[in-house]
Amino acid sequence: MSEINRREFIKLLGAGAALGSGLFGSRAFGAAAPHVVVIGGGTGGATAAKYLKLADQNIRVTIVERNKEYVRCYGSNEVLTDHCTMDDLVIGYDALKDKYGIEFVFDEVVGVDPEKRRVDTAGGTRLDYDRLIVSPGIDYRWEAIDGFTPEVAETTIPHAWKAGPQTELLRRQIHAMPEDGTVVIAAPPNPYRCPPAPYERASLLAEWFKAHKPRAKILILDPKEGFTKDQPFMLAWNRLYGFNIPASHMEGMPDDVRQHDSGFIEWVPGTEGGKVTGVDPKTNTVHTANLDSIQGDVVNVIPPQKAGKLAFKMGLTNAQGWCDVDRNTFESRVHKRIHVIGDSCIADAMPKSGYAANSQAKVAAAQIVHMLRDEPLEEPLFANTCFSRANTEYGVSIAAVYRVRDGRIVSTPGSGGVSPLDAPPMANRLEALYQESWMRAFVEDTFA
Amino acid sequence: MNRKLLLHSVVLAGSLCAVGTATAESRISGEMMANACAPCHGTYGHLENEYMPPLAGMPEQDFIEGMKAFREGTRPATIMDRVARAFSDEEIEAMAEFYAQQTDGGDNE
Ligand SMILES: Cc1cc2nc3c(=O)[nH]c(=O)nc-3n(C[C@H](O)[C@H](O)[C@H](O)COP(=O)(O)OP(=O)(O)OC[C@H]3O[C@@H](n4cnc5c(N)ncnc54)[C@H](O)[C@@H]3O)c2cc1C
Ligand code: HEC
Repeated sequence: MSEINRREFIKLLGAGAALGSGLFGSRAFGAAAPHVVVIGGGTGGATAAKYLKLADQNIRVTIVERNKEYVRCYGSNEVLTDHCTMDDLVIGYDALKDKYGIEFVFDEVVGVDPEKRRVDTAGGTRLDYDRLIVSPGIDYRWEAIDGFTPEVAETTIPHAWKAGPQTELLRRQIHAMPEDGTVVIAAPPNPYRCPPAPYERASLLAEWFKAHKPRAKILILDPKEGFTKDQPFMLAWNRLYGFNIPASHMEGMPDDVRQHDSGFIEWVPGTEGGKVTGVDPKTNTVHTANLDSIQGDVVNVIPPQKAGKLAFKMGLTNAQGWCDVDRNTFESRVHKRIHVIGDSCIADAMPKSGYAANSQAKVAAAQIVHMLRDEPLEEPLFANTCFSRANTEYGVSIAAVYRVRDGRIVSTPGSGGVSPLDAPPMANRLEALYQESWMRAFVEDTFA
Repeated sequence: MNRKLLLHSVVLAGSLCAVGTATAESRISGEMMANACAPCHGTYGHLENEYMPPLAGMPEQDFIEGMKAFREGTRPATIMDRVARAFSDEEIEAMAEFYAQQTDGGDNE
């Protein structure tokens, strides 16, 4: 860095020194406390509400959420193999209510008027806001896969991409499957919720099959040519499940990689016929772009995705079906005073994950507090990490720290990345433990 | 690890901070950065009985030395090396100061 830059940098550091303390003190807002309404008490919404209250108790915060309890997706793959139960995924809202004084309306939002700054629910509740945060999660592009409908997903070919009845259906199907059966997992194209989760799902199923149905197979059909953490996953699969690593992914692999006669997992990339274009629920068959028909004993199609329904209803989405926002504040580029966070928003280099939603929520909360107080905004910083388990004792991870540069969210150069391929076994063992800890710490940071 | 590359990236991270944006102040607060660590280290660094260490109340010097050692690859890590490489000295110091102040026992209020 040049001398000038360095001096500039240090000067800027000094100039901003007072800023860090801004969030500690509460400033009185006079008679009318500002009201922030949060639609969606999921990962993004819950974090935003909590951090608004942590920053300033005087701000009134109301969450409008259709369900009385949250069923988390993180950990839901573990239900499929009885590492945990559906009950373990349920999170209540008592801590947010009692500890932080967040108000709740359990109801479906049916309309928002951005001019009058007003939210209407199905049950007739009407809320006025100074700022609105929207974190409605995802919806599915059913039309992208012939023959796939919500009814099919609920009865025969579950996507299980939102923890709930479909998670239980998929679990039952896997347990009831013949000893030598095949599970077909159709992975979605980017961008989608939780990029490593289809591959973690395959990993956990392979671990379970190894113990319970040693002749079973998992076929991953993928429209992509690679996926997040693909090399650490493939290395683990080679070590644990007889997976043969394709030549395209061999670079940098350690010496212990072996060629196997058969294994539990097979991965088919898009150029080799991995793109699924249709389903036939009567025969449990998927059709691919290469005009193949592949039958499975269990078929799990994860459809392409778009922003949550409410985002469309509110007119917040762009032509690609996601919500464009100012990356420093998450304020919508369509409607003023409405901030969109989580899976629904466009966040460039950040994946659509719970961690990312939590990180965006904190930035949005901090900036909203500044806006309500007529203070200058601050420079944001974000992070994401996803731990996945190749089996109960073998973890892999990806990490990144993000900044806003030229109006886009970018990963900080020289940092982040996936678990190294030459990691000693101890590191993989530790990463599996850290994944467990992360799950508890994350739920706590978000909901308690 | 390629030390030259490493040093280069650290300096780069530092210089990027000076760029700033039109709307924002050009200093990232310790709290803003610490919030990004909270899913692993707890809200404001408060964490109990987990495999990951809590950071609340950590002496500044320990924090600074620890982070720099992660960044330089001289302290064993599963993930902190990848995280620490994103931060300049000044940013590490700002986080150190923030965490050292978190001595309230974890009620966050
Ligand atoms: C199998 C699987 C595993 C995953 N594992 C991980 C992981 O290990 N780590 C990780 O970081 N992420 C993981 N994720 C991703 C994570 O679950 C999501 O990215 C995260 O939940 C996104 O948060 P959100 O706030 O955008 O949406 P959500 O958490 O889905 O919250 C949206 C909320 O809005 C409510 N809502 C929507 N519309 C309305 C309306 N009109 N009125 C009222 N309420 C409404 C919904 O009921 C819901 O509660 C996983 C996902 C899956 C599918
Ligand atoms: C994905 C989880 C994760 C994230 C995110 C994370 N850490 Fe860590 N941290 C760990 C783990 C795990 C260790 C133990 C060392 C290792 O294995 O890398 C650790 C150790 C540390 C230590 C050493 C503590 C001691 O007692 O010596 C410090 C300091 C630290 N982290 C700071 C941070 C800061 C600051 C951030 C955010 C910028 C951060 N961490 C983000 C997981 C995380």
